[in-house]
Amino acid sequence: MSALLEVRDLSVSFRVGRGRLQALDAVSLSLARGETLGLVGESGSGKSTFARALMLGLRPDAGDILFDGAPVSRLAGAALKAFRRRMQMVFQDPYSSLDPRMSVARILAEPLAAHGIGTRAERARLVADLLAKVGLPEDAALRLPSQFSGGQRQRVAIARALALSPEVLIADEPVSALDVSIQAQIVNLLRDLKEERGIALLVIAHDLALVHQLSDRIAVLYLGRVVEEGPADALVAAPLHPYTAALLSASPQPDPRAASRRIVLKGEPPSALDRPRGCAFHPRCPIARPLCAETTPPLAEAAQGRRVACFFPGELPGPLAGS
Amino acid sequence: MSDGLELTDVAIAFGASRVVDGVSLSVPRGSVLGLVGESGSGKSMIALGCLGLVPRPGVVSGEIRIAGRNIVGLPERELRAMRGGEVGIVFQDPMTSLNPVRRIGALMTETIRRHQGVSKPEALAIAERALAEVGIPSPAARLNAYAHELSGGLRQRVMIAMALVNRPRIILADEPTTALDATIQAQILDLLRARVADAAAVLITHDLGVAATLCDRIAVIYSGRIVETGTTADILTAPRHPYTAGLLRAVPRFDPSRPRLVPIPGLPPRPDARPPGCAFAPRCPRRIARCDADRPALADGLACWNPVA
Repeated sequence: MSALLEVRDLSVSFRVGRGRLQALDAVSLSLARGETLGLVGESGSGKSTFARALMLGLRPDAGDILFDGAPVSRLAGAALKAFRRRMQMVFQDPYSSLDPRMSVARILAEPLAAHGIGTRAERARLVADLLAKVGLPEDAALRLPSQFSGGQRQRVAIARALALSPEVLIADEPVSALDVSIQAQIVNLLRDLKEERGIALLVIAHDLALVHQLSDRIAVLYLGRVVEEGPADALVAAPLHPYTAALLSASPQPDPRAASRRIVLKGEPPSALDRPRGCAFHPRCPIARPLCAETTPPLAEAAQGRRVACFFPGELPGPLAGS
Repeated sequence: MSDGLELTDVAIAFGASRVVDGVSLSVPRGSVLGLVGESGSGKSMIALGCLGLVPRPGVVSGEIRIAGRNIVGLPERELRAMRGGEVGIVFQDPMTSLNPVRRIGALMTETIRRHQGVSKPEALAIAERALAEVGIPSPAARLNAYAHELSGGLRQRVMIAMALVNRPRIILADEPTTALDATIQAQILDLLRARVADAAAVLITHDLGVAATLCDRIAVIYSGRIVETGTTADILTAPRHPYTAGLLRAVPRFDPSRPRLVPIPGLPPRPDARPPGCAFAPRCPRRIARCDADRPALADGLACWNPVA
């Protein structure tokens, strides 16, 4: 399958005082039509910078973003507008991402009007369709965001992102502001969008169990680099990178047996301003050897469809090994 | 009489809103209870009640016994002597609970001297030892740092060191790892597990997974009332209350078959507009006629007329 969205060697850095913070370092990832890619990382991993770069919210130092084979950096005018229509985003916080003074009908109709879609009456019908699609009652259209619960607001935000029938939906921590019982509603809605409408989904989150629930493939970011990428089930069942294994074991599962299989890492993630030599993970890695402190392992094909940046892939078993 | 924490029929009301509506709990010394609930369930208000910190115009009734002494209605002077002394506290965000304009050493020696009555140099030595015990590298140097100069994980370690330094009988930890990254959360849970052994500890969390890693027993709270209590293993593997069972079905697991998550429909009632019977009845898949009429009391660790078989 050819990639709908392809990111090649994307590097982004920010000036911080006199230094430079390398937020993304030669990241390459792709998303096929109708596929869900999960991007997992902790704070400072660069995952939100990646989303911003995709939405053209910042200028990369190097690398290309190709949409349908065309580099988006050269888009302008009508072509840029068309691209923006085809890729939409849902943010973490449904409380701050919706204009509190606008009715839901206006929030949903605005992107349609901005792209000159339909007459006023047709747009009203589209708004009703969108509300039904995300499981909100028809009379929701007349209300303000403040009259909804957090989960319902996130439905409004998803409806707004769907208004322009995008081919790619980027969801950055879409449920982390919501209660557990409500999270499941939004997760199921995203899953349905993918299965019924064939939307390609990029789910960015810190919660590996959540990402696994939604994704076909998962990529793990550490300090601005992809350290592992592969099919979601394979990556979770048998992680190749020791950081993936630790992240899996750190994901608190409501399972009384889980506690005995913990890998607790030493120390904290280093600053991207002061990246360790060699493999950036080596100071915290339970299986690091002298080589890891000297040479940076390249992200290389390890098995069918799996890539890993580690000299000793699979040596640290994940918490689910043998279960 | 218990030497831990004992709540008997505790209610915390703001006018007509009974945010906490008749909670009884017992946490003996040497055990960790997980108090698990979603936002608005009243779980954090219970923590404030145990500290005598319920904001005005909240009214606390019932009994909150710490090592046998009922603290409801105690004068502020005695409550202040208790907080940070007999009762250690760890909050979610150390940035808002550690005074930003004072050095870590000053914050720690103040609480040590207030509760232990030692000299300043002695207090500094105790503070340094306390930081070392929670795994803070170069503790002597950290005493001179300000909270904002530390990472989130280190700040939470400082908070835990301060909570433990006066050897409290009770430790309250309210969402202590919610603001932290997964690998740092694992470290802090490990630390708490190792360090709270002598006390009676309450971990307040929305996350059943976090409770599973740390707690001996779990109490599930819904709309200001305990709906189920039991050992961690029983709650997680054989939940009896439909709300507990619903929470467990709503959490994603690492299961290759990826069963569809089962959301709980609807929302919790407002505390001033609870239905007359069971507060969960309107959302409950096992609702029967009696659930709307009579409020089930907590008996044998369960408040339900039609429990999960």
